[in-house]
Amino acid sequence: MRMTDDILPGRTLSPALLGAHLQIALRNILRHRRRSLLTVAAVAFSVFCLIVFQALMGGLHQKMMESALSLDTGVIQVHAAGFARNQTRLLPLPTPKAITIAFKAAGITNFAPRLKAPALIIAGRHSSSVYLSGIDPAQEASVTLIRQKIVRGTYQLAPGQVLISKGLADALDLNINDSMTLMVQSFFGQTRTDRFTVTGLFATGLDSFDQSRVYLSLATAQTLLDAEDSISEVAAACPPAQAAKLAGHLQQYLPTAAYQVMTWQELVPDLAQLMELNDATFRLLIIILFAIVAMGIANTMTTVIFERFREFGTLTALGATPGGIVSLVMTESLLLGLFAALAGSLTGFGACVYLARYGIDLTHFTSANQYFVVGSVLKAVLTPGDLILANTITLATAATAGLYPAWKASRLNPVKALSHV
Amino acid sequence: MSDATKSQITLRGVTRVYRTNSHQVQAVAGVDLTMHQGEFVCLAGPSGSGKSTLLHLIGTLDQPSSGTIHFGGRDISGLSRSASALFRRTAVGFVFQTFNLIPVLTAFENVEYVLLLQGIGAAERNKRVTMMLDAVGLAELAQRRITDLSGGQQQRVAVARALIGNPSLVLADEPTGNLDSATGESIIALLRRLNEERGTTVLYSSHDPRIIAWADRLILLQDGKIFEDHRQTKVE
Ligand SMILES: Nc1ncnc2c1ncn2[C@@H]1O[C@H](COP(=O)(O)OP(=O)(O)OP(=O)(O)O)[C@@H](O)[C@H]1O
Ligand SMILES: [Mg+2]
Repeated sequence: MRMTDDILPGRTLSPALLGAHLQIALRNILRHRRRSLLTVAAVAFSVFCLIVFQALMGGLHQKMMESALSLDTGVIQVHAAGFARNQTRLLPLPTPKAITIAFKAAGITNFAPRLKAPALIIAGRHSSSVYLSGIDPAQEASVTLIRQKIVRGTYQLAPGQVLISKGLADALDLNINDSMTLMVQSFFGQTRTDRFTVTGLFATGLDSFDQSRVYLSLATAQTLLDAEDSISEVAAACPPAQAAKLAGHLQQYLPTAAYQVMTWQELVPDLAQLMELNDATFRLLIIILFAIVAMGIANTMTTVIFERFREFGTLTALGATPGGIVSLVMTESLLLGLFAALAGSLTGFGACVYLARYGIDLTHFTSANQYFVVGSVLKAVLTPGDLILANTITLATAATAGLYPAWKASRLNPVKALSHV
Repeated sequence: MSDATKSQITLRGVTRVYRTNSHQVQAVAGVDLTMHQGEFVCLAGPSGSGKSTLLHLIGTLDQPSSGTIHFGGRDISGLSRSASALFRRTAVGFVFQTFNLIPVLTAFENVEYVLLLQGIGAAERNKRVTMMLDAVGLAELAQRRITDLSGGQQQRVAVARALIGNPSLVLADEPTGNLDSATGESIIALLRRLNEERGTTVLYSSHDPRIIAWADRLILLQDGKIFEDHRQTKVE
């Protein structure tokens, strides 16, 4: 009778017992300093890599997006209904005033109206096929970085003045204040030519863009093309993450029968895909990295178990349940993971702070790359989410890696374990 | 009161057979045995006669191939891993030949671990461990790491650990086997004293005649069977 009362388990894993297991685990880790240090260092290095790669990837994506969108595209564009990407036929937007009102109502302040058309530039005996962009210089500067890319002359566009790239100017043997001829097909289908003066040269670093782009004022373009008061597109700048939301707002004011509102994902689908592909590749890298981490911890813990067979046998004899043994081994595995996560996070964070400030100069690799137009120094962008993710993955890996050794230890035959030498 | 109700431990037809590739070993070959609360019993016999195996069976670290073992009227021969752990936690204390203390813990913490398993609160743990270490003569060494203690001191800690949870039975497999004879005798004297003071049953094994002589009941094993079982008095 007394027996059954005696063996009532009560709480098998009390906080005090878990505290004792924490102490045993910690002292064992400190006791085998070199082994623990090696394991922690290997795992911490993986955490470090994960954090730094994540932050560089964040920086890369930000730069790619900024570059691809701030060259010309913007984050949102409005066209007349029926517009197709890369189309050359002039398709004017109905009632440009309504669009201005819609943008303001949607809370978008940075937007630029444009009139775009293909043209031929003729200078002396040279000629070249280009794309005209009639712009409002002030509004254009709030959406694209073309003003910052002026290398000679000014960013002013009086009637009869144009901006061309340094590259095109060299090819056509032109300089500031030189004049040249533009030939276009007007809105009514007639060939028109006019003479213009070069007031500024720009260089974005992206040759394909530079060679084919000519800026003139919106009014000048409208006169040249016989398209009074017309515009063919409006591009807007806003944080890319808000593109879908703001496009939705815009659509409330611009009926789809007449207007087409597009986000950057639709305007440059290859960029969105490229970023997704990057993310997928990175996830695969994480899986491989942490499979290795798991093997490292599992290997250490298996050695630990083997060395301490007799100890686990003794604890079993004293009345530790399989669950108690599991908790002891798991505590040690998780502690290793925790130390590694701490060390990796601190060093990774430090590296990210440095890389966010100084970055990595990629000038040699990116000279003709549309994704580095805003600058070729790759800077780290670390978000709290990235840090939390790295630490969660590490602890989850440590727990998983400890599971099998812990289970092994809890299933040991106590008689064999006690006679183990 | 009949013998069966008064008895603490009862073994009926207990065997333990080890099967190896080619042959079988009958480590315990049909043992019937009854022990009463408070006895101080020695298991003796040649090497391989089954002493350790029998102690493991009574302590539920191993399970008999056939036969039954009752403890306080309850059959303990087929307990699950967890059930046997909970049984040992409160009912049985172990003392090993190789001490088997947790090296990273102090003397105090080693003894305290059993009370942690039992879920006893901090204040009572402190009181009981302090008293127990005092009882085994180690009050001064409570905060020492195990690795800084001599063999005899370590075995005293082990004795304290075996008794701290107030078990009704202590099993000790050659508790003096790794100690010099004077230290060994001090350990068996300690066990004897605690047996008398607390009424804890002690079952120990030994090869050493001087240690065997301390028992008031001697069970001789040979080839896994009880060959002799008699009471004896210590001749001082
Ligand atoms: N795991 C095992 N596998 C096979 N045979 C075993 C095993 N454990 C013990 N035996 C055998 O069982 C018999 C009894 O062993 P046991 O250890 O109980 O003897 P003992 O009396 O304690 O001997 P000692 O005095 O040497 O400690 C021996 O013949 C031994 O070889
Ligand atoms: Mg033995």
